[in-house]
Amino acid sequence: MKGRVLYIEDNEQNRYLVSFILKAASYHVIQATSGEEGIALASEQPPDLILLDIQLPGMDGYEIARRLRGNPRLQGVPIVAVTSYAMVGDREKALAAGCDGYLEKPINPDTFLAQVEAHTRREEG
Amino acid sequence: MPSTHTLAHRLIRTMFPWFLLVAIGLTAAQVTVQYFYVNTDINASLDALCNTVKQPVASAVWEMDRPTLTGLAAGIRQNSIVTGVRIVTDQGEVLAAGGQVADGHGMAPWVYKQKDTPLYFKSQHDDQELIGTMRIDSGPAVVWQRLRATLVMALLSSMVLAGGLWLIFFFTLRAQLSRTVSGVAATIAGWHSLPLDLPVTRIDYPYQDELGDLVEALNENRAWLSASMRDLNELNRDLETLITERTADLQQAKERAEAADRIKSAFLATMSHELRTPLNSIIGFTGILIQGLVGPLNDEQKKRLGIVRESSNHLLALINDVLDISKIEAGQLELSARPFDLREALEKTVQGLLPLARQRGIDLGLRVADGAWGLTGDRRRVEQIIMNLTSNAIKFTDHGSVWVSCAGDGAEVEVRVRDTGIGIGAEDLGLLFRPFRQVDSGTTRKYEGTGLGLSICKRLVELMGGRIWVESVPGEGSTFAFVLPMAGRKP
Repeated sequence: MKGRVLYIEDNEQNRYLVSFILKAASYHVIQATSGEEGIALASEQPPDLILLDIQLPGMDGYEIARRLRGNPRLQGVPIVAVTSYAMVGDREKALAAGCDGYLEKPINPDTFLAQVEAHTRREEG
Repeated sequence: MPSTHTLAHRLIRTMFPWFLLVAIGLTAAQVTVQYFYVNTDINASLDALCNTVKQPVASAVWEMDRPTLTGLAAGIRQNSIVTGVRIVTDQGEVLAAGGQVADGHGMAPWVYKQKDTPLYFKSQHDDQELIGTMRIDSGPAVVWQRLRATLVMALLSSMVLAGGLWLIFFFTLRAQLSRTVSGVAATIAGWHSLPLDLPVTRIDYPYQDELGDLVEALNENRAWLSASMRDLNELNRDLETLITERTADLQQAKERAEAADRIKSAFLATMSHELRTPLNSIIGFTGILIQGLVGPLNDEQKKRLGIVRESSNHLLALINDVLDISKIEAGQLELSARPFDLREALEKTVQGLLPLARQRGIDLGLRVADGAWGLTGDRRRVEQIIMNLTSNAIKFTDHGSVWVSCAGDGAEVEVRVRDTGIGIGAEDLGLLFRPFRQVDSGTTRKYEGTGLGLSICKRLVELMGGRIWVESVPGEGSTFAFVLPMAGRKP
């Protein structure tokens, strides 16, 4: 087991795809379909990495990132935004909200794992 | 005494010399007439005197009675018109004299009177014998004495008349003219204290003379001015209303435009999201399948999935290009300005394209001149331009090589992408950088692409303050080149 990854995403196909790739690489994946659920799961048992969709119904990814960062127990957990927004200033907004990284959708299956590992390794180091 | 700058003063100053001239002329005429009268009178008196005394004088001369002659001369001398008398014998002997008697005839006759009376002795036979001459003078002093009173009277009356006229003129003019004009001026001054567009008191002047004409003209002018001002104010109000309306219109138009802008932005964001979400699944699962994570694949299956992946990537490129050009057109493409190493960006991009070049069976090389290649700008977008030009070059080159090179002079950097491909005809060079253009419709099918890449490159380079161009010889190859300022776009 490489580590615990919390993935907050409302689209079922995306959840399935990312979970599949991560599980195949021996990650333990916890899935949440909304911000509230994700924040609750993260608070319960802090994961090693949080992957966060930005465009979510209700509470959006920026707000979720700010709330996660507001929890002292989650201070050291890397948060990576995974978004299809790709508009002007999205990256800056995500970083300002407390994210450590930013991945554009569609994800590239050939490089996705390397990008995730870069963040978990930084956590260990 | 009031100010001397009045109409009355001016009129009098103008008139007085003329008046003086006339007065002097009249006085002169009066004195002249009086002179002739005095002259005649003196002549007549002299004649009468001579006639009266010539007989007793002649008798005394005949008798040589000197004392009597002396008495007679003194009597004659006492006459007010006589200035001198002299009695001489025909021998020239002076028997008696008094006062001053002029000799010779050089005296002007209109000033000087002299009368010589011959003295005769009448004998018993009535023969007349000249025995002497009596000379009597009447000088200018007599004439002057007679004229003086007249002259003084004439001058006095002229002066009194002049002074009187002066006073009458002055007060009449002041009362009639100055006071009226001052009144008009005061009324006009009163107009100034009121707004131009208000009707004002007309100047009141009851007479139909020249001043009346002037006052009427002033009144009409002021009325016309008020009417014009009212028109102008009305026009001004209309104009202000118009401006307010137009401003409101413009404000509305601005708000509509801003709303349209927000809608456009929201549309671009939504489209970006909505198009990428299904692509995420397609590209992701195709990748998983090709990687063999699900299970082993045979060659035919790998080939088909490879086609799905290529098509998906092409579709993604299309979507990215369309979104890019839309963002550029909407003015929403923002470029960052951070320092980065151009050599790194070139190496990374060329490295990424090596598989494509290998697949196409051509050489891909990079030549960067020695030196520091620190640029300030948007690294991702610079990479996008290099990627676009280089992948184009690889796509349109069947045999040979593609060389990417970089040179600079410290202020600007020039990146060139040279290929040995099919080249481009001169007539097509101008069309290359326009959106949705590939050199001919046939090439679109042969060389897949959006036709937007070069257009986006051109817009990006221009946004970065640089320029982009192409040089080409059909059949020999093309060179795409762009220049960027190393310090970033000048503000």
